[in-house]
Amino acid sequence: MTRRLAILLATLLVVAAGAVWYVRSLPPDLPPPPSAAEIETLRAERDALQERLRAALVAQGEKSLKDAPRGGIMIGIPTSFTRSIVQQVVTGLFDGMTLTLKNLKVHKAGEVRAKMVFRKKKVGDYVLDVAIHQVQGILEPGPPDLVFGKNRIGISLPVRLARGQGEADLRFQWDSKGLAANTVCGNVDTTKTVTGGVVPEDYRLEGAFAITTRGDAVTLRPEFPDLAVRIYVDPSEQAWGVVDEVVKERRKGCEIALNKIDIKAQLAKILGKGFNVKIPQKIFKPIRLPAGVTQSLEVQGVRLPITVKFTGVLVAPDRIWYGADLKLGTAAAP
Amino acid sequence: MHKSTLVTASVCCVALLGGCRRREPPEAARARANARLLGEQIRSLEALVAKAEAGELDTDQQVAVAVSEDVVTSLVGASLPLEIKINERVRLRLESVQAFFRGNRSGLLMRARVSSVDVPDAFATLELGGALKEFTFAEGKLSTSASIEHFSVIESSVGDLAADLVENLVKENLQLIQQAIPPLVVPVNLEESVKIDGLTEGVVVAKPGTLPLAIAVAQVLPVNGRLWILLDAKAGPWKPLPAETEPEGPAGEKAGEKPTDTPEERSAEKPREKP
Repeated sequence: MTRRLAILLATLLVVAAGAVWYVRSLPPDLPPPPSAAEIETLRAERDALQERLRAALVAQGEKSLKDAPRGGIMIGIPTSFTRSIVQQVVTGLFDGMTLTLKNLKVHKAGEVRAKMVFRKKKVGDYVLDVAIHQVQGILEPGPPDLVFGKNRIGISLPVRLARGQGEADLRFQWDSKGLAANTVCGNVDTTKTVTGGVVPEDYRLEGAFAITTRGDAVTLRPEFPDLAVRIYVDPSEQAWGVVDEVVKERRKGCEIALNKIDIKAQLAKILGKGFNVKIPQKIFKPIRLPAGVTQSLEVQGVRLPITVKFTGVLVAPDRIWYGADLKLGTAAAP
Repeated sequence: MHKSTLVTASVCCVALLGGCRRREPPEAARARANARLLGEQIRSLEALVAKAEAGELDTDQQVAVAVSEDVVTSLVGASLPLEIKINERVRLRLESVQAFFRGNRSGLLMRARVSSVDVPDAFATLELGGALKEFTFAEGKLSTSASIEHFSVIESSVGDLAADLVENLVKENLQLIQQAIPPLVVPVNLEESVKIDGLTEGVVVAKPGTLPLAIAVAQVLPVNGRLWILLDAKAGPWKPLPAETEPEGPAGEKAGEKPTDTPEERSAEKPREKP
């Protein structure tokens, strides 16, 4: 029994080995693999579709894609996004900008002559001093116009000196000359505190941002002149009221003499010249566009330097393109 | 009892014969995989082209970042060789990688050597095909992880049966292998805000501010050898920050001390009336 079983087992093993050999000699149960020519046809079909996709994207608005500087890394920032950044940064900087003048002094002096019987005669000297403790003007920007040119963005920014306020001491001195004048008017030395505003004025700031690259990113560098602003102080109703008081507090004869000075007109004249303020060009800061190439990379806890070789920048109507080739360095020895 | 064992053994042998079919030569397997991949790329591109030609593929308002195959190959390759231990018995060593961005398919073709800890001379060479799909943007960085989509043993020092074992082992530990591959960080800095310093100079005070930027991955197009990552980007609104210092010296006072007849020469000066 055991011998028969052994023979059977041996026979089975031989049959099994033969079957394995036979099956393994068969080709795999798959259709024949594609030939090199078939693969090449598929590749050509794929490449043609890629080309069609590129053409469709260009037709849809990606006009500058074909001219974009090539590189291991390419970054394309839409003009609309750059425009939005520049507009908001520029208007943000000017919005609420204050121009604060302190301790300004203006002075006016003169004499008053009046007809005394036969001829005109000096009746007194006056001095008008205005000590402006502080006057502050506030700027408001309008929407800027941006023009994208070759490697620069031209800007025309309307700026309005919109409002302001200030406080000053108004000192009026009157020195009567001659007996008659001294009798009627005497001398006056009065100081009053007055308030005022700022006359609104419109300005336009013209300049540009040069589009530059500094290795790893595109930066917009400001090229603007200083902006000269003139602040005109506008005395308030309260200030005019104070001037009226100064005159009306005098006797009638004196009032006539003081009216000849026309303090209001003198005040308006000396303040009407305004005060110059220069807004320095350095108010504008470089704006770094928000996409750049990193100069190092952490790989498995080790920081590796990346050498960035800039390949070009293109300012196109639809995008600002930036291209760079990268070379990964080795970690510095500890 | 013995007879029934023999019958069972015979049936099993016959059943297993199907599995003993000879493995395809690597060149044929590669050609088949290539054709399959190209077919997938073509189908995917056809859909994308149809979308683009219908005007439904909006890209012109998006920030475009393109990375070449070479750059991604060198970035992923920087972390190689990478050794992964499976079940404490088997060592998988990722040795090389090649990135492919064609036909709207992003691919990483990796080659690994699998060997036994106990029998270091026995090895199999494995080819793994990965994809870069889920891109995320966080803390100014764009990153993604590779997901392994297919793999096959292309060479085995111990025969086809061992190759099958290796493939099964990889299949069972796919998650572990995927997680061991370091994430790809695209070497691009994307700022999340534009910060502008204020200015306090003389009579002029401009407040500093920040312009927040909202950036999010919109779509990824792997075509023509480049991985195009398109980002939705929105700027604003501008947020003014408190001025850091008070205005410097009173320019107006200086002007008042030295009045001039050419006011434009001074930053702030007073007019003067002669009596």
